[in-house]
Amino acid sequence: MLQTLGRVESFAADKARRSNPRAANLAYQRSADAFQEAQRGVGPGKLSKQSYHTWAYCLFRVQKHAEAITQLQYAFDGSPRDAMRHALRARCHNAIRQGKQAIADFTAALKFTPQDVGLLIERAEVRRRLGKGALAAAELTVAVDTLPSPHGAAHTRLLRWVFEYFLGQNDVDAAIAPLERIRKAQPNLGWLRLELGILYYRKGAFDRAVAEFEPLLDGTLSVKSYGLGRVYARLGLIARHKGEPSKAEKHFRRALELSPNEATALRGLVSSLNRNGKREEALALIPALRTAVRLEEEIRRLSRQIGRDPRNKGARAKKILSLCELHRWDEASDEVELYGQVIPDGSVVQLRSDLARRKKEAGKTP
Amino acid sequence: MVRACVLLALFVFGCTAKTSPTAPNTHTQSPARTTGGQQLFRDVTAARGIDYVHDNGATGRRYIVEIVSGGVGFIDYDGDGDYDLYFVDGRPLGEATDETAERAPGNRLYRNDGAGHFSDVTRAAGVGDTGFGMGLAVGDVDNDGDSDLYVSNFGPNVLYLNQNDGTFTVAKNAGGAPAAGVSASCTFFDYDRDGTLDLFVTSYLDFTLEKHRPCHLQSVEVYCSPAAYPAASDHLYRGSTNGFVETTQTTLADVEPGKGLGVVAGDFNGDGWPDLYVANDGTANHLLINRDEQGQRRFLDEALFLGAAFGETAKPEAGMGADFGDVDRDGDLDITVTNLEAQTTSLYLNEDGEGALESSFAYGLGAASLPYVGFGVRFLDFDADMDLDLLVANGHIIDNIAQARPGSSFEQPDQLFEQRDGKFFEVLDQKANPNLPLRSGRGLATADIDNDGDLDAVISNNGSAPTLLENVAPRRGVSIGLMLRGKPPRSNRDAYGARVSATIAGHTIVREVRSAASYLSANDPRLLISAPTGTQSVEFTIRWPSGDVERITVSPGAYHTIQEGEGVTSATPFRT
Repeated sequence: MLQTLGRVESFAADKARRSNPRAANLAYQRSADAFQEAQRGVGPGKLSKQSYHTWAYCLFRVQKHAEAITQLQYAFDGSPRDAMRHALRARCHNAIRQGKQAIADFTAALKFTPQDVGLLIERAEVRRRLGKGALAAAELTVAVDTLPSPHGAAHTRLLRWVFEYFLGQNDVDAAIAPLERIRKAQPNLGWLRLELGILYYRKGAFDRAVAEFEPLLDGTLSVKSYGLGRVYARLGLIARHKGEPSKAEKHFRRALELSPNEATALRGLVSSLNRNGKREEALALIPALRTAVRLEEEIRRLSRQIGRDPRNKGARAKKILSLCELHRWDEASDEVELYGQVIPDGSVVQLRSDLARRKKEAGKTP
Repeated sequence: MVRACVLLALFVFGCTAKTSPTAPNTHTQSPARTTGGQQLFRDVTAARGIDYVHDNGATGRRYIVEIVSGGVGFIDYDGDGDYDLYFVDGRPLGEATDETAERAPGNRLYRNDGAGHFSDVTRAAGVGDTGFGMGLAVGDVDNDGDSDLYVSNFGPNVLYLNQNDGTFTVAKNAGGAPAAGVSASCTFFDYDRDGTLDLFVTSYLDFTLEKHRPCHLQSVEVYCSPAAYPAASDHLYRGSTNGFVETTQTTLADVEPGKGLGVVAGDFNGDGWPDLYVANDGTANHLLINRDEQGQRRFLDEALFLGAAFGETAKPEAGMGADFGDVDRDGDLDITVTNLEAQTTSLYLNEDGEGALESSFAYGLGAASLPYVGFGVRFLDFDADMDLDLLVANGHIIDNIAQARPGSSFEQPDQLFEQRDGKFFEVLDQKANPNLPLRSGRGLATADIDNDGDLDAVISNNGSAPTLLENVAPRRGVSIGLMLRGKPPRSNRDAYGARVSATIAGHTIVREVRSAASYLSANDPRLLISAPTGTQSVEFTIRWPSGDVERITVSPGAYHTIQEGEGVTSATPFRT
């Protein structure tokens, strides 16, 4: 009866989770309490395997990771469901910084489901945290070949992780390789061309970079407006290096239309204007450049905070505010929607309204 | 391919002792830098008599100054025509040190015997300052014909006046330039061109031991980033016959405080007046243009306007060391700045003095420098092929980075970039050669230690032994050495700021005389200019600090001493 109660409580938690995380948390706690009470009646290990799995999951949700690990010892039964149990225990170990145990459990789970992309990436993340990112990248690269459909979204997801890992390691050549593999399978991804173009720019291969940007410029492929702003900023820099300051000026102006007050483009415009004999206009932009540099630094700081704690409402709200100050409405709007996905407590409604008001006040159409 | 790798490995490691990156504070030999099996620089630290080991003073409290220290420089202190070596040492902070102990901390002076062998003469010369040392500057501040020595410290700075007999005396109150606080790189230059050297001293942070606070990365206690402390104003002192007088309040009145670590003086806009480039750590770099305002010299920070304030991404970076050099041979001075990992070693191409175009990626320097934390940096034509190459000393800023960020390392490989057809190529890179020696590089200075007509280098490694590198690269051309001597009272005796130009084989060559550049470092101020093999003579135009212009014609194969107004007064053939 109490097992039933536990399942009911879990079910309640799932329903509550959709509307109110705080209520969900309470429901998981109640479920965990119910399981504890049930066990008191029968003794440790006497409930069903699935009950211990469910109990451990409830404990995991209320962040009692060590306790969840203890209860999971009774959950394994040699069935394919052990994959989920290993994965759950791996997440618990990871949460309490027991990286090696986490990897062992992820690896055990992957024996049941070797093509589970989510698990592969979770294990890679743990390896990266332990300083074994290169091993993780190699594993994922190999895993791509074992996928039943090597040209699908799973393939892209794995290789994108590898790309982002090497980008974080500042290894330009190694970051290009997975993107080129994605391109072979899916040549028409806008974000892929944007990233490749920027990487080839970083290699100093300017013509190659321009070739990557071309489908974005002629509209064959699409990226977000601010992504296109980054493209024009790079085109401006390339034009400057090729001794074409007038062309550069045009590119930087277009970049700023697409991504207002973007510091790289603003700096490029100041430099191009100066080179084109428009010294006064260049000087007039210096205060805006100072502001952009300051706000972008703030945005980077907030992004780091969000990276550490994705549910940090304050940091997310401040980031949106900084984007509004820069008049980057599209980027701010995307951040608001992301906020809504990560923090489903309804506060996003107020943010949407604030954003619309700020846009209106800035003379834009909401 | 495998065979080639084995051969290279044997060549690199076969003749040198094993490195021990895990054992700081012990002297180790490092392998030479090579390319394609060809040796370029050879580690001769121990072989040439250098037994110094840098003490960063680390006691576990992690005072920020400890980890950025490690100055080094060359000075011909005895006037014998070869360059002696001076190391700037740290010491444990906040606790007493036994000054009589055999290896008590203190700066060290090593005398060069002329063939590039060194012996410790610190006590005899009286230059073993025991303050917490950072950097140094070398110049004849009193125009009496010898090289004086200024040492920047965490605490009061010190000016050693050369007595021209192999000894120095300590000038009272650092000759009027005490600076105090956290001084970093410094440079002598003649900003008002009155024939007497002036002094610019960077100030890193508004930091004292009392203001120290613990910082953490991934729950590991680490050295704080400069963001933990406010910026401090740099200092500018005007030289006179009575010593230095601070003019910061007037000459730098409009310059916002930065977190200065590196500085280099040079005529960026070609107007004949020396400008300054200051590498700031975490704040915008300064390009201080020397302007005339109602008869007074005043520096205006035009870095933001000209494009030299930030790296590629228009955000403040962690500027460490800096140097000027005409990389693209268009007759003006370009700038390089070293930065943190994930930031490039920046290269700003000078656009006729009206702009500085960030070109690290265009020149192939960007991607190769991203993984490392760069400190010392020097332009040098190591292979005598007429273009400037680049040497960079790397080392992480967090000693326990491996603990906080597994996979990262405090010790990193130094990098040598060779310029070919307008691009820099990493001569030997870590990816291809994972066994390269790893070190915690800070100061980097260049000099022709054996007077053989090429530039050698020394790298000071934080908390461990330095690396003295002898240039053994094959020369692709011939070299001409120039030793300029200004004529006081119109020019400073060191001729700092003199500009030498020539057209050689259709290429414009421009060099300026300076000692201070890189990071906490002082360099051999003589100029080494290369020309194609077979060149009989080259005509140079010299613009002296006084403004006078002189033309001389000299032959390769020797150091030529040129006295302002008198032409070539002597020539000393390169040693063979």
